[in-house]
Amino acid sequence: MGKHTTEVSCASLSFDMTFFALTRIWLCEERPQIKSRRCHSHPLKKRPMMCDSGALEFSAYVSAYMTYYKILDDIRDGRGLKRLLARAALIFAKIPMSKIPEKYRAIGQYIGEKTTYLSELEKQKCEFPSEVADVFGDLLGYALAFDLDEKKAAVAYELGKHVGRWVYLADAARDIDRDEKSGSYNPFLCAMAPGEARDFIANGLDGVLSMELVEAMKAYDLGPTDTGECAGCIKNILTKGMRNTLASELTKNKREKKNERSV
Amino acid sequence: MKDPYEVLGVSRDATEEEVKKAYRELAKKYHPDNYANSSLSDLASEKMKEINEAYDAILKNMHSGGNSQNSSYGDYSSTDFIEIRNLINEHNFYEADLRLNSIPSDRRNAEWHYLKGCVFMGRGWYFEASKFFARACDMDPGNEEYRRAYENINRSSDNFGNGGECTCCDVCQGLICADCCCELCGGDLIRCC
Repeated sequence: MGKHTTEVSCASLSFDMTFFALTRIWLCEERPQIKSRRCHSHPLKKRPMMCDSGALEFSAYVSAYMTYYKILDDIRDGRGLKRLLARAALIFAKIPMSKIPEKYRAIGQYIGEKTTYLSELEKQKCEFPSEVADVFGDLLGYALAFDLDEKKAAVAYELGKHVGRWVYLADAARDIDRDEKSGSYNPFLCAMAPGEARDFIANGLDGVLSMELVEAMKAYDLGPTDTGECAGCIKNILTKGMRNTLASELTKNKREKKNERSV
Repeated sequence: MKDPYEVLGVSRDATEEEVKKAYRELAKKYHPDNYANSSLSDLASEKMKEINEAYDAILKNMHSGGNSQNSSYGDYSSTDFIEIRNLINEHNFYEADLRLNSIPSDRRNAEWHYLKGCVFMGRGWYFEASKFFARACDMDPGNEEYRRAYENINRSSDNFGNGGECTCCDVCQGLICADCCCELCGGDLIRCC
C-alpha cells in the first residue's frame, strides 16, 4: 500500500481490505512471491511479506478510495468533535488520491456515489436492513469485479455482494447496543422493536447471515480452481472465520452487557 | 382446465393433509429452480402453474364445503394467490410484490405473509423473508409449507458445521489462518510461526 498510495494509507488497512486483496489475488490467479522483510510495524525483525502484484496495487487504490469517501461521509453527517477529527483525517486521506492512475477513477466515482446513497438511506431510517446492506454489497462486488474478464467478473461480483451484505448486517448486529444508546441509525432497530431485534440477533441472525455465506460459497466454487494459499484462506474465512468471529463478538457483547447490569 | 384431482394424483375423497402432501411432492419435483438455465424451464413453469391451480381449486372446494372454516385460506385468497404464486414461480418478483401490496391489510392472512416472504427470498432479502415466514408460521402453525420455508433459512447455518460453537481445533485453525493473512500483508499475529 505504501508504494502505491503513500505510507499514510497503511494506517487505514483493515481486515475487510485484507480479505479483498486476497480475493483479488485469487481471482487474478496471481502467485506473488513471499519474502522476508522489515516493515514499519516490525522494523527490527524480518517478517514474511507478500511482494507487489497487480492485484495488491489495485486493492491499495480501492482501500484509499474507501477511506477517503468514508471520511467525507463522516464530515457530512458528524457533529462536534467527530466532525473535527474527520476534517483532520481528510487532510491525510487526500494524499493518496493524487497517486491513483486515471484508469481507476471510475471506481472512486462509484464508491463515492454508493457511499452517498448509503448515507441517505441511513438518514431516512430505512426499515429494510437488506436494502441498505444491498448498497454496500453492490459497492464491494463492483470493486472486486472491476476490469476482470466476464466470467471472473460475475463470480467476483456475486462473492463481493454477499460478503459485503454479510459485513454490513454483522456490523449492525454488533453495534446494536451502542447505536441504541447514541440514537444512531441501526437497521435492525428500525425494522423492529429493540427487544424483538435482540431476540432476532440471538436466534435468527445466524440463519440469515449463513444464507449470504452459502451464496458467497456458491460463487467461490465457480471461481478459479487455484489451490494456492489465497484460495485456502478465502475458503477458511468464508466457512469458519466470519461466522466464528461474529459469534464470539456477540457473546462478548452479551457478557459485557450482563456485567454492566450486575455492576 | 384439467381435473385438479388428476393433476395432483389424489382421489376425490383425499384428506386435506393428503392433498398438501401430494402438492408438496409435485412442487418440489417441478419447481422452476430445478430447471433454471435448462431448455425445459418453460415447460416446467407451465406444469408448476397447472399444479398450483389444481391445488388451490381443491382446497377452495374443500373449504367451501365447510371442512375447515378456521383455516387461514380466506375467500379472497384463491384466484389472487394462485396468480401471485405463478408470478413468483416465473421469478417476476416485482409484479408479485405489487399484487401483494394491493391486497388490503385486513385481508393479509398467513398465505399472504408466506408469499411476501417468497418475494423477499427471491430478491435475496433474507432478513425480510425470514420475518414474513415467521409471521406466516405464527398465523398458521400447522402449515407445513410455511414452516419448511422458515426452517430453510434457519437451517442454512448447517452448511457450516457447528455454527457459533467454537472447538479448540477451530480456534487454532482460525488463529493460523488469521496469522497467514496478516503475514501476507506484512504484519504478524503469532510471533513464533
